[in-house]
Amino acid sequence: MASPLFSTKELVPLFVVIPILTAVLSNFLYKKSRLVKVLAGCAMIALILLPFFTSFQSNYYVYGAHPEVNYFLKEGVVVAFNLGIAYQYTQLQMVLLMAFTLMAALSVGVAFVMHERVSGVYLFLLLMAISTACAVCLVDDIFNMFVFFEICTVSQAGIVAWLSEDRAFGTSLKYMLLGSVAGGMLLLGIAFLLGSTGVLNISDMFEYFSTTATQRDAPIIFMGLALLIFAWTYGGGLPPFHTIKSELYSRASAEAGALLQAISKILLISVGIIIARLFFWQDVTWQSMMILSTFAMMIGGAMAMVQNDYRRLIAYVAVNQAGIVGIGLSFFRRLPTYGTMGPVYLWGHEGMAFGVFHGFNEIIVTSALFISAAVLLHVFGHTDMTRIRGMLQRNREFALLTLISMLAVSGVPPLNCFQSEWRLMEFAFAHGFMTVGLLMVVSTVMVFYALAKAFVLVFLRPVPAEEAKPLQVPFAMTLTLLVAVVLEVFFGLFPDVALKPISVGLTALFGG
Amino acid sequence: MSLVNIQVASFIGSVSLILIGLVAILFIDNLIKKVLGMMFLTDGVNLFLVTLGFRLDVPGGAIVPIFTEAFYKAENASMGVAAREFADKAGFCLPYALVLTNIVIGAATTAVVLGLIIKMYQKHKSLNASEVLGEVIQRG
Repeated sequence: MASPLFSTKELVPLFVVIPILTAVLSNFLYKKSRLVKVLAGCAMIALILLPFFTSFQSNYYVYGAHPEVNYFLKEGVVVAFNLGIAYQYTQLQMVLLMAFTLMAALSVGVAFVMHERVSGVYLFLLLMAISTACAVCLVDDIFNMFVFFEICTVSQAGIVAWLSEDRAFGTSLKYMLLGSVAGGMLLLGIAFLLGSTGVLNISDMFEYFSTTATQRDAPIIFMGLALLIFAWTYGGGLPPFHTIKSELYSRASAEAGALLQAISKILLISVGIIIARLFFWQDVTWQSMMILSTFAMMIGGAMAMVQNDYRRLIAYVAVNQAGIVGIGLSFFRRLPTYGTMGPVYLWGHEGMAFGVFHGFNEIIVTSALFISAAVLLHVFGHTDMTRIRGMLQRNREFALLTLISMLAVSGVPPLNCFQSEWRLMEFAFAHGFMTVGLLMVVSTVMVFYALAKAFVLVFLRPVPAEEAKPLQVPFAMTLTLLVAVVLEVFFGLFPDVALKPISVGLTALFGG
Repeated sequence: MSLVNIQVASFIGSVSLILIGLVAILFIDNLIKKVLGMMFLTDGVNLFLVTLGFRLDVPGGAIVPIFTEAFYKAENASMGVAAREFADKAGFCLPYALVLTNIVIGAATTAVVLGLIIKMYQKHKSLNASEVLGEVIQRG
């Protein structure tokens, strides 16, 4: 999909550099609201276009301010310092970043509408969060992944705290305190892996574990695995962190909620793939990932059904969907395929590709639902479903666009989430994960019920004729919903456009 | 004290710091003490990383991994020999770089958390997490 006119690997670091530079400038020019808007707008357009102009390159090294020193001495001693960040840019990253940058750009656009005088500081936080999420997706060094993970945590807490509400401060504080535990555990896990392998580069570690079997059963490796999975649950919003994550999404401004859930999905997928690459040889890896994800899926679905606040409902739907993505990510292993001669074990990451594809779809769909919450917040000043009614009478276009996104996330054909959820369920049943498959069906029904209830309360309940005045929805919000709906229908009809690059990218990362 | 004992003591120290930090963050009610727990946790992980850079195979202990001109002159040898000697004796320097980065991240995180605590204190006139965050949860 790279452009034949202009395509280069040199553009890979711009996914991180452009938002960081814009963030710094926005913070510096915090009083000049219009200039800051123009800067952020240009940066987001550049980010959307970047995946189309960047060619694929594995293990691409980017050097910072320091030059590379590769000094060969006469006596045969090699002094080599590679001060830089290693990025991995395959078709998998391209597809994920396409969805993420588009939805992030639309969220930033909605922020311009929601807050008349956009603060440079707020944009700084949004852009830093976008930058670090892109970095976690691209990076091929496990310590750099930790650094970006930590900055992402601080940025996310800052986005929520920016609202300057008491509850937002409380949520940010709790998120930061738990983040300090998760970050510490992640670094400790990295230290265990460094102590075992002597390297920090993820591809090098993958090679090490692929070729060296002697160290594999050491307790220190299992400790590293456990600590990485702990950090993964925090980043992706899986149990035991599902409560704080859903609180974070719902306490933030609605458009920020869309961005935060998209970031969580990127962290969930990226860190999940890293864990799968490093510990693919150990059954306990996929087992623990599957158990935690199944809990998230069921808890998210059950909690969504009992919510009366639209934003909290969407937040729990996001947790539920994170669980489904996590289950997909755990479908990597020597899977039994049942034939006439009995089970045949085949190594594969086909199921994982379906999980990533669901994450890709989910970034689009849940962002759209959060933007619909932003519309309600913009119009009514709250998202309490018991106090809002008659939206269908007031704005039919908005009702239709929201309905399509609700149907998409519920897995209704021919929309995009149907394609990914159907494939995941089919895969689960075909490879002996009957319980997980059945629970996925149940969770889909739960989400459908929760969203149907929300649609009836907010849109279908009639209001008296004198109150049924047409409501104007800002153009940026309608555009965001429209773009999301077009993508939902497009990827529902042509799933292979996204699924094939994801499979190719996973093959590049895991080897054929 | 032998080198092995020093390394073991460092590991025990780092594990103790991590456990104290975890207990403080999860179970102590005072917000400032929670922040102190965060710092204990970070320092524990840092100490663990520093201990990883320890080398037991160098008699008398490894040297600090900084290749200076003084080292070159003291060895009174060619650049290559000096570099090889340095590589044989120097500690494993990668963990130190990680520790430096983690110290910076820890400082930034602590500053943000303290800022949030100040805002919460101005509102609630209390530093008890059960009161401050509990009130928030009830009203939420």
